[in-house]
Amino acid sequence: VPEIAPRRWLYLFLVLASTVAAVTQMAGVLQFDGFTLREIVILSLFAILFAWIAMSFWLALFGVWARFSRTNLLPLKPASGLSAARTAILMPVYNEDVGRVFSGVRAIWESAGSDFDFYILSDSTNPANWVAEELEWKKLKDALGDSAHIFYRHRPRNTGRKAGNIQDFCENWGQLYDYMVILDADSLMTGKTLSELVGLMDANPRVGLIQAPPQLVGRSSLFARLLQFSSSVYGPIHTAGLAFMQGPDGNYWGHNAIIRVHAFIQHCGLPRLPGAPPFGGEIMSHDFVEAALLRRAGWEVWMAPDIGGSFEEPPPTLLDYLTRDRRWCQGNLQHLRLVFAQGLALPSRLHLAMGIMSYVSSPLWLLLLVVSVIDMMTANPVPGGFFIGLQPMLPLSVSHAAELVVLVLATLVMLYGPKVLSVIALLESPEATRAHGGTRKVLQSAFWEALFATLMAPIVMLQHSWFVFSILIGMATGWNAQTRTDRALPIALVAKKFAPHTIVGIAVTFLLQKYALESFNWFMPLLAGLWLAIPLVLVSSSPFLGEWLRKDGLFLVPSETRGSKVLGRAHALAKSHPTLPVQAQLVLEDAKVRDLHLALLAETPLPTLDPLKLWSLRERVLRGETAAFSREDWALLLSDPEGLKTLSTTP
Amino acid sequence: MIAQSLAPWTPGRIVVALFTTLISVPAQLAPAVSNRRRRA
Repeated sequence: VPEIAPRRWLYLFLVLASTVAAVTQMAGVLQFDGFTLREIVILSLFAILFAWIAMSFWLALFGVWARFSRTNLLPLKPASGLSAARTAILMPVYNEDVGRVFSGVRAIWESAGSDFDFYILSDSTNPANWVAEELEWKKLKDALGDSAHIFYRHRPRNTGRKAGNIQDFCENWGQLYDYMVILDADSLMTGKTLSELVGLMDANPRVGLIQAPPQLVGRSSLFARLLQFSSSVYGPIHTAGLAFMQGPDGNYWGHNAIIRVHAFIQHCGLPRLPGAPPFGGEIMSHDFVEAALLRRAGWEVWMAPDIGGSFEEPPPTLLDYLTRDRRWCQGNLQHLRLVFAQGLALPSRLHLAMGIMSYVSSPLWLLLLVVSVIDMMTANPVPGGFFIGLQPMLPLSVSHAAELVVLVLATLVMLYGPKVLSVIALLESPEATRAHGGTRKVLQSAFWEALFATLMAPIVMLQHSWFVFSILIGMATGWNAQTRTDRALPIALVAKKFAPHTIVGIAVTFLLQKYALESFNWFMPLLAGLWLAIPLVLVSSSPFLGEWLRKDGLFLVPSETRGSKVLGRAHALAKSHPTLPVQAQLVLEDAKVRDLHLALLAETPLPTLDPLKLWSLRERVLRGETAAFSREDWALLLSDPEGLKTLSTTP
Repeated sequence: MIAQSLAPWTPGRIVVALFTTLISVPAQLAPAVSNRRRRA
């Protein structure tokens, strides 16, 4: 794309120019009595953080420009005619809600038809999930008949996690396919979008990957509906800005993307990083790295911001959101080791760096606040001359009210500007406005969303700071399955998890009241979020409140107002078909379940099992002592076809 | 699938790269300058 270089230079110039302007202004305020070490720290942190928010501001502005000028954000050759390519749709599963996974697969299959082969790639370590998945798969196969190519594979060990799961597919079945579409356990795509992606891959042989940015949909809790609304209103501007700037140097978000299988097989084998976790070991956030490797090998990586028909569900509560962030934070921090990897393209390095910065910015904000507060508390109090109206200003030796107001305004514009621009861009289209509930409701929703996001921001900042700190001191984390169901959180749990935030909020209030009363009001917006942490999380987790506000027309998104066929179908299937809690025990008790399990086991290479342990397990089964079996015991027993056969013949 | 190398540039390599740039930029400009002098 020839016009992309000037865009990038302009972007760099705007980010730098706005940062330099803000930093000069700040330096003007601070240098009055010469710079102290603390002030230099404040200035450096301010420079980094201002540049960071300026980057997203200008990105949004470019996005708005791209939308209004109707720039083609995916300048690829259009698809021509029918495709002869073979495409596999992969659904990696790890101890997920089985009913939902299979409802999703069925809904996509019904939308996409039998042109695609589906692979449910299970890494589930929970034996009950394993058995339930097999049963659900059989049920689906029976329901859809022979025309449905839906395969189920269970991996005995989840080596390499999700990346290892996909790699295992590539090594065993990759040769059979031209393209693969990667899904997540809660993602959905329409048949139309899938076919369009295949057509684009066919017509553009240099393209290695196309990411179809997923819309957040399908939840009912207030928190999730807020996320859905913000992703639906602000998302298009952000993705347009990204696509406008990155061109063929795009990124991969781990799911809802189509990949050229042979390019992936050739170039995306991930190494184990030397050293121990959290920085060494398996690469956790593999998606960014895979995109960087494809780019390094010369393949184009695109994003299709306007393709539509690509969905995923947001986490239902702030607690779940933060649990997911804990993993992402660790995964992204690990990229610190890869930013300077040999041969990567500069945009790939930027994607990695921005991923890191999205978490590291939190402790930097916190540090800036702490240092500023200390600076204020120790500054010599000089009376008079720092009031604008009734607002007391920061007590810095002389009145710098004007400069400070300019700085605060600039920061507010950087933070809220993208939201305002997105709302304007939305309101410009009558159809999109109607799909979000009409002008009045859009404005109301945007106001409440902004307020809510502002209150949540300090909670998230504290939590992210803790994540970064705990990871840097080496407290590694596992990679647990996500909770993906709406539920009101119990008070005790929320109180326990968010007590630290509340305590920090109250402690800081006390300190400021005592030592820097004049600047207290400046910190109100930050502190309010912390004081209210527990009620905020509690209230926002409520599915009832979310539903109630939906009826009132707030935070509406197109999938709610206009509906989506594939989404509606997946929900209807999941609802009409509640999965019974399947126990691993069923394999011993029910001959049909056992036969199915044995038949599937015959197709998979078996892991090496400890014969002594197996023997003792078999003995315990014969003695009827299965009640005391651990998950590991069951998993071992289920991986032992010989044992299961002998146990089945015993009465 | 073969594991790809993601070894980082070593600090030494980055220093060498900087150094070569420092040397090579004047070296690349030098012929242009000396040619112009000769013509004059």
